[in-house]
Amino acid sequence: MNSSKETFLQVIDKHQGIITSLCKIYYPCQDDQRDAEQDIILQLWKSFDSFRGESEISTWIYKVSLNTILAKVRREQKRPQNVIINSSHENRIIAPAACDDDLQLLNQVIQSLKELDKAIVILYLEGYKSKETGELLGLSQSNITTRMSRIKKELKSKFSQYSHELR
Amino acid sequence: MNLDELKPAWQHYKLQNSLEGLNHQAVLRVIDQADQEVHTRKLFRLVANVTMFLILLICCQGG
Repeated sequence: MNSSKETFLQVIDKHQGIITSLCKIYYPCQDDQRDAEQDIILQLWKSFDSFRGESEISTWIYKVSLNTILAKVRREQKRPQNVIINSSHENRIIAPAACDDDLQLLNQVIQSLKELDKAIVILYLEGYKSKETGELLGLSQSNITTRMSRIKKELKSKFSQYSHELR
Repeated sequence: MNLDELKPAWQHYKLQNSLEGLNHQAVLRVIDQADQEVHTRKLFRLVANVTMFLILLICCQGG
């Protein structure tokens, strides 16, 4: 095995939590998760040589992974059959992944969002500012700020009572 | 509801998922397949370019 493959495997090993978490959030079914994981690994490998270390490696992984997943989701939404299959599984991922109240609430909050909004909230939870989030997702800072305030408003109305019940 | 309160839960979720263990063979299979496709595409482009060059050479020999 050559050294760049070894380095790549180490990078993937170290940041596997990001990749798996994103796949689980967007794809409830295990087979779909595996497919998405393979797509992400493929895209990461293709751009691995051009990664110059100008940003954190985790930032690069978020960028490639989220854009790969969002493109995949958009492609699949054009095929109506898949939407039906996915939506039938949607509520099933919440339960097994959640082992305490906070995790359960996190899952419910994220699953209540639209695909792009999920990515914005995930990057917010990871601590990225709206400018960085915009750069990662190819959107303007003002677009992210507007979306984020709308998301917060929506979540407030949806979960203010429910978060009480969970605690 | 304050989203900031979910930040520790997101870190916990990632940590949980990082413990699942990665199948190196599966990753290598994806990488190797990608490399194979790149080589095939390069070879195809080379053959196409050589063919085009030969056609031009044959067609432009008059004069």
